[in-house]
Amino acid sequence: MRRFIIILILTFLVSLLGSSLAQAPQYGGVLRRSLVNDPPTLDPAMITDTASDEVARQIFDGLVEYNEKGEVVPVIAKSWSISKDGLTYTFYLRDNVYFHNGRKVTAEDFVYSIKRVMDPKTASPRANFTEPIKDVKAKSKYILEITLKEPFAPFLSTLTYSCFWVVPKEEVEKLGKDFAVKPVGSGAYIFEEWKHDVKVRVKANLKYFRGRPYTDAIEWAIIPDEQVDFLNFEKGLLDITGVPDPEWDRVSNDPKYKPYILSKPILGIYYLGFNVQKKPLDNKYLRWAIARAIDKESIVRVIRRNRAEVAYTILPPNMPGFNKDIYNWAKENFSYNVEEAKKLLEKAGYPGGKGLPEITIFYNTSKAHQRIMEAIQANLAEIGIKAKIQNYDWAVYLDLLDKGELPVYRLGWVADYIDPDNFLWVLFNSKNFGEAGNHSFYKNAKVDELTDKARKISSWKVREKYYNEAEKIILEEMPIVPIYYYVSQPIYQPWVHGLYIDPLTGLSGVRYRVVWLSKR
Amino acid sequence: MYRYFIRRIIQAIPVFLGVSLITFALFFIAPGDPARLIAGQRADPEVLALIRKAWGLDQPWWIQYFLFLGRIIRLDFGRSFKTNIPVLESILERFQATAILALFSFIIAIGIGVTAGIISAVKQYSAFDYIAMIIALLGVSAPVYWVGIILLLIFGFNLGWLPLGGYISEYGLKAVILPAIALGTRPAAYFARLARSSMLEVIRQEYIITARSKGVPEKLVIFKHALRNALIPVVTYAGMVVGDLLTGAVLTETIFAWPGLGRLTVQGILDRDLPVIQGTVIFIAFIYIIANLIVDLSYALIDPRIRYE
Repeated sequence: MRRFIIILILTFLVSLLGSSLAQAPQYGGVLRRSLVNDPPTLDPAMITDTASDEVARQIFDGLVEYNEKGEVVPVIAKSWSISKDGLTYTFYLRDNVYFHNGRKVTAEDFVYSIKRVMDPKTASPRANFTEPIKDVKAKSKYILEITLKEPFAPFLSTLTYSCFWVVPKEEVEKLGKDFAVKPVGSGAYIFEEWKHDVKVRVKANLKYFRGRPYTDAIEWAIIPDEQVDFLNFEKGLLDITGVPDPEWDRVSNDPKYKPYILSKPILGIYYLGFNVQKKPLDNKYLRWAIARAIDKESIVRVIRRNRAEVAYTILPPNMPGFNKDIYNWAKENFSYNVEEAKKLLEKAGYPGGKGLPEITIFYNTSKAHQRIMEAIQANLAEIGIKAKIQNYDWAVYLDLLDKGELPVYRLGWVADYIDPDNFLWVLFNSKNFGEAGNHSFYKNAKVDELTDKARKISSWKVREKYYNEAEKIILEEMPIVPIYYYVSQPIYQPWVHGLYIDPLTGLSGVRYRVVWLSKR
Repeated sequence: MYRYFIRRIIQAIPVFLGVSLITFALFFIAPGDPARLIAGQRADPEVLALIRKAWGLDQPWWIQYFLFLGRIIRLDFGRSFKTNIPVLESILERFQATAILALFSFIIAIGIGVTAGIISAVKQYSAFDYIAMIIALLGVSAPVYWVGIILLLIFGFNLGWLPLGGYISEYGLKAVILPAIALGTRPAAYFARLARSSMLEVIRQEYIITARSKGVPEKLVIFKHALRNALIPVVTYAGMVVGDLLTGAVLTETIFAWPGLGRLTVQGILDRDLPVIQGTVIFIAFIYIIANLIVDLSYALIDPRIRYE
């Protein structure tokens, strides 16, 4: 008996040791990812898309970044202070950060990088992110000072954006425009190879100041077809990818895959917008009637196969400023209810849809959008609104949206930085009509005042109050109908460990230095 | 023949000018602002103005056109608005991939298509004829996307014999087999039908009957007397097929993750990337002119009655 107990204890200890060994992160291996298209650029000053962002994020670092909870945390800046008037930001930099060419990163490099984005000659599509900046200077080798024109509360948050990542002046000047294809940064991985439309490869920066990344390299294969991409995953040729909609039911119910699917709402919404200055959509009751006629639950359940969350508010649930009371209020007043929708249509002056001209719902060409627009079209028919749907390719669509020529349109918005300002000011402040973000051409003096004031105040409590107030006014006036919040749902192989979802953009925002691979 | 060649090349110049002018005009007529697409869904008007200025898009279209012509004479196709990469470099890089795929697809199309068509004609109404023509009908009707996915599922995924998409730089020549079959299927089917009908027409002609009545062996009748004449329409069609294949096949390239000219062209159009659109259109025009020239010259080789003086 005693012998049996000893064997049992030993077995237990060995298995414990084994499991703890299995859990210990391992170094080595190549992480294999895929991208739908070739990244247009790897120059941080020029990045506007997710493919470029995902690759460049591994090569470059900035002053600060978001952690998994979406909090701003130090990277090259080890700490910072903000003056009482909210105008001066002083960053204290680490003295042990090196560019991939071996030179130390100093405050002057940030001065150069930021001024480069501000310089009209660079023609950075993200130059507007530097708009609040009055001056940027190096107080010493490792102290950087940024002065703002006026207080801008989300400023620290905006510094996480790719255009603020640090680049080495000598490499930019040596390579000129080719810096976009041969980038040199200071991040966890070093750019190695790029075969356009085939693959991009980066290798581990063994001297990285936060410790070398777990994997030896990351390789992104460019696979434009999502079905083929998923075949590659199923064959074990990719380590992390997304699941195509037609495969979702099979994959998400398969015990082989189920434990390896992550799911998390990101900071984005899909919505139906109205040009509130165009007849007949200038009628608030008509907009309410449309909102109440749309069966969002069915859209999410049937069309999106529960791969999104039904939205009632503009701010997504993980965004600071999201208010559960506003959510409940909006849900109660604007959720799917055919009878209420009919009453509202009557109140709008169109009982049973009589007298209302046919409405056109516009969308940018995509089968996925088309299915949703068809569902909305059918929903509107239920209350007597005749609607047709019309698509354009993205270039034409943006052009028409900017000019305010689309009375009813679909759009999505994923935040650039984690702050309600990036939703409520960008999409609804009347300074931003058209291309600047307000495609509803919505104008409300109170919303303008609240969103203008909120971005200049440092107290989060006061800001939150303003944003809640503004959001409630906007929802009540309904220039847009939120349909669903985006959810990121990547799938990974059993040998992938440490993967997380970036709270802002999902997979494309992940820093892969923390991901490690066990034996394939 | 030499003179003819020079004349044809000179004739190509107004074609290039016309093609570039029409592309330019269409670009400016079509809605969609490249600066807007570079900047993304939300863009500040000042930033848009900066981008337009940087790319010369703030100039009147005719000034842009003459600047473009000035560059093109120096073989400078400019840089992509979207990627900043020299357009000629991108085109040549993609053309290499397209040419490899085109070559293999063409070999499959000609090899299988013409052979099947000739056998079908010679053995008209035989089992081979019926089966070959049914397969040809299926080949003409099957969408390339469907053929591609089925090939990938069978040979890439289930059997694991061939790569699941990707380029030869990663997988060697194995990578070209499935895309070449997918791309070559439809022209092979057309070649089969064309070669069959052309051959049938020729073998009914009097000189063939004469040859047969003189006791010329059947093989000689077919290969020496009939085939040369039957090949004229096949060669004409081959010229068009080569042109098509060499200018990229966006669907095949997309399914098989093949870095060809088709994807570059379509992406350029979607991005309203004028230098890429101009560059690829002119390059495609060049390919068609050369392909047609080769076809015209090859007529003389097949049919000695045709002369170019």
